[in-house]
Amino acid sequence: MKRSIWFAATAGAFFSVMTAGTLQAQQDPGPRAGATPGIGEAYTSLTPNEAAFFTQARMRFEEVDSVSGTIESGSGLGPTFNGNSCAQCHGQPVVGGSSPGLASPQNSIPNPQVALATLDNATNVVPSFITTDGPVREARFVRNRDGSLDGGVHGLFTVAGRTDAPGCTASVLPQPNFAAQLAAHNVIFRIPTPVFGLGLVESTPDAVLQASLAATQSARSRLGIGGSFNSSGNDGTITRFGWKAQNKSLLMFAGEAYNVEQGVSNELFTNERAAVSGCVFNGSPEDATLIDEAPEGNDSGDLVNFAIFMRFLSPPAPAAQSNSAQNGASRFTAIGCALCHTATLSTGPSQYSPLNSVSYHPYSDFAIHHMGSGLADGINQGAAGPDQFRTAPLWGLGQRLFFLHDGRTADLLEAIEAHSDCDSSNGNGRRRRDFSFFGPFSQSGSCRSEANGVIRNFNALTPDQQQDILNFLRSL
Amino acid sequence: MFLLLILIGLAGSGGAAAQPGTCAPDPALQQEIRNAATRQPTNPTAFDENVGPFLALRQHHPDDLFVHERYQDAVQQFGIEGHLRMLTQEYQALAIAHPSDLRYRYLGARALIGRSTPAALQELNQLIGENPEFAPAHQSLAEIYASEIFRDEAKAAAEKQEFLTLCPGSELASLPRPLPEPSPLLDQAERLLDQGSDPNPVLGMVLQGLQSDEWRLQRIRPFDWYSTSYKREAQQALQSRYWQAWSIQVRCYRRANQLEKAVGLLRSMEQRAAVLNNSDPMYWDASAALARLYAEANQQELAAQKLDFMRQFLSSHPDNRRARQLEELQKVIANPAGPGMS
Repeated sequence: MKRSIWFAATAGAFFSVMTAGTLQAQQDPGPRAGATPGIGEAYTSLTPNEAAFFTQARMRFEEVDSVSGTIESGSGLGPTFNGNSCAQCHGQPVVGGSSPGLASPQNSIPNPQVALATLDNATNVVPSFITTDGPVREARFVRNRDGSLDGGVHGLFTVAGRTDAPGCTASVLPQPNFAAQLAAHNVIFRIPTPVFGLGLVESTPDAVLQASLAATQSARSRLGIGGSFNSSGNDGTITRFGWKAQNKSLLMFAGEAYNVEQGVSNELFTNERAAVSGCVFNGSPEDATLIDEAPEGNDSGDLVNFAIFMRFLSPPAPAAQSNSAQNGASRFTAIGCALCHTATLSTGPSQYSPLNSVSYHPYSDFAIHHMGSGLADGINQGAAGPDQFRTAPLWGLGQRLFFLHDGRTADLLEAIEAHSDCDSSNGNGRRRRDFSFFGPFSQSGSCRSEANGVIRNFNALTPDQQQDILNFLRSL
Repeated sequence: MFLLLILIGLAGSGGAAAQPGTCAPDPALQQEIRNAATRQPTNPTAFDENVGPFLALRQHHPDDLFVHERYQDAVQQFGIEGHLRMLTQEYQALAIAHPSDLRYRYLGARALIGRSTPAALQELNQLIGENPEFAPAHQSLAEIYASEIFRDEAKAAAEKQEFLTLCPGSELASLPRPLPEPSPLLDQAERLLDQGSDPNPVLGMVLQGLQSDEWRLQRIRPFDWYSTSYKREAQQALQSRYWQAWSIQVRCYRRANQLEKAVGLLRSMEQRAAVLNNSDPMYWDASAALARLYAEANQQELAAQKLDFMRQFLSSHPDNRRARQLEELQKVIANPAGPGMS
């Protein structure tokens, strides 16, 4: 009897050691070091005029805004804002990317939103979810005080107290009470999406997206994967930019972000947000076509320049793949990841030669999918409901620092596991991290995510096979 | 003779008479308006405080034309873009709510003066075309046509004549109203620092000076009294003041032994300078400020580099004032023990 117990205990310990050993074997290799050739640059096949426009457009993308253009050359910042330039948030691994961060091998910087809070004498308090080593974030409130749906972005900061906002004080224009909203589980977050290669996405006909989705319908059904497209309420065409594919075009994407993130009213979003009378310093729209002056021959407003920058910005090229990464690519398809993270799409005819009828590799179907209670953020955007998200394009993922819409993790393995809302373990006995802070609608074991079947497949792989997939993803 | 005087008097009136209550407020109200106006603003940026007495007056006399005019004047005098926008919206709403009341139609047009003056001119001209005896509209037109940007001497004289005929003895205002002067605080702060003053109050002066100058700019930017080039010059002047302010701040931090702050601000100045086009006038100001700060910290190589930038700028943009400035800066840097290098 004693011997049996001894044997059982020894076997148990041996199993634990083996399990721990294998668990340590699969891990996110982390953001890829080194430069990716061509990243952050325009297509080399642009015409000279297009290339010249791109150069100017990139300067606009990098331009820093102050309230009225006195402290910095750009103007229109506020009354509320999350950032003071496009490039501030779209900075990893280079301008045009996603959130910068300390863990970057290319450009290790602290979250710039921390310093922004008090830049130029501003009196903002840094909200608890903005940290030096965390991602750049925006905040959305799920509901209004009266219980009706909100869903809009609430600027983290205001211009109150800044030297270039005289007379605007925190009593007139207070910051939102984020602590109270957090306590009420009424605030969710979004991180910046990278903008590399988006001209290709914009140039993809609806029919290509629809055909691509239709081609995998039966395979998706077997794994419980649905999928539909978000669309414009006016012309009915597929919208494809943003975390919920809520924006139709790059121009629209830029216009909304300019007003929401930097507080710059523009020709698409003409009215100032949070327009408290003592804190509005510029006529609207703050950014517009330059009728009176055309610096360097470019009379377009910032919006057109931002859209051109994104349109002509080449996609990230994947790194050379190791054997493991090549195995991972096959495994990625075999277990069903590629049913949503579609590897290849093609553009239609375009007036821009680099975008004209070419194939590209976004690893997204640009459809929206139910991701279950673990990821649900309660926000409706167009046809995308509270738990629906666009399949995040994976190109460039190898050099990204933060994952999922709210940047809740920097660990790729955790990001994969978070696709499932079914189990509390990752299938290998390891307890998942508690992300309830980020998921106000988390319901343990609700099993509504369309990715549950694929994640089950992933968890059924051996640690080495899972590692292959991680290595493949970090090669993108 | 007496009969002749009566006849002349009648002829002088031309048969025209202002609509009752449109030339001047009654004496009691006039006194109330004077009382509201006697409060001198202590802080020009304190909009609510400065406009408050006129707002209170309007609440007591919600239908009085002159009270509304003075309230509008106060918003125009102390307000910035957001206040002006609200004023326009409010009076447009009042005009819509009182479609048969000429006063509100007039006030709606008057609220546009200074910000959308061509639109105000159009509405006021239309108004007097239909109601030639409405004196306040002639008054506003006369004031606008007498202004520098919308100057039309013949029309100004004609409208003035109409107004004074309808309202003899009345006065016209001069538009636009005077701007506040640029703040002397930055220059004072610099002098105090050179004289070895405590850096803490100097830092406060710098901040206050910048905010006053920003406010002044906000009193220029929304108004069409000022030309685009004037607005641009005012903005560039203020950008230049920021470089002066940051430079003083770095020196204050150094003096107060807050070296981390000094280094941080100097770094951000460098970052700001790095994105300036080398033909931008700010490039000159940035280089001058940085040259001096580096020289003060005995970083001669960096100071020399900035002086080189200034020389290059000067060779492509010859300018006597800048040439003198460069010469003086070179002397100061060469003689670090002298004044201004403490």
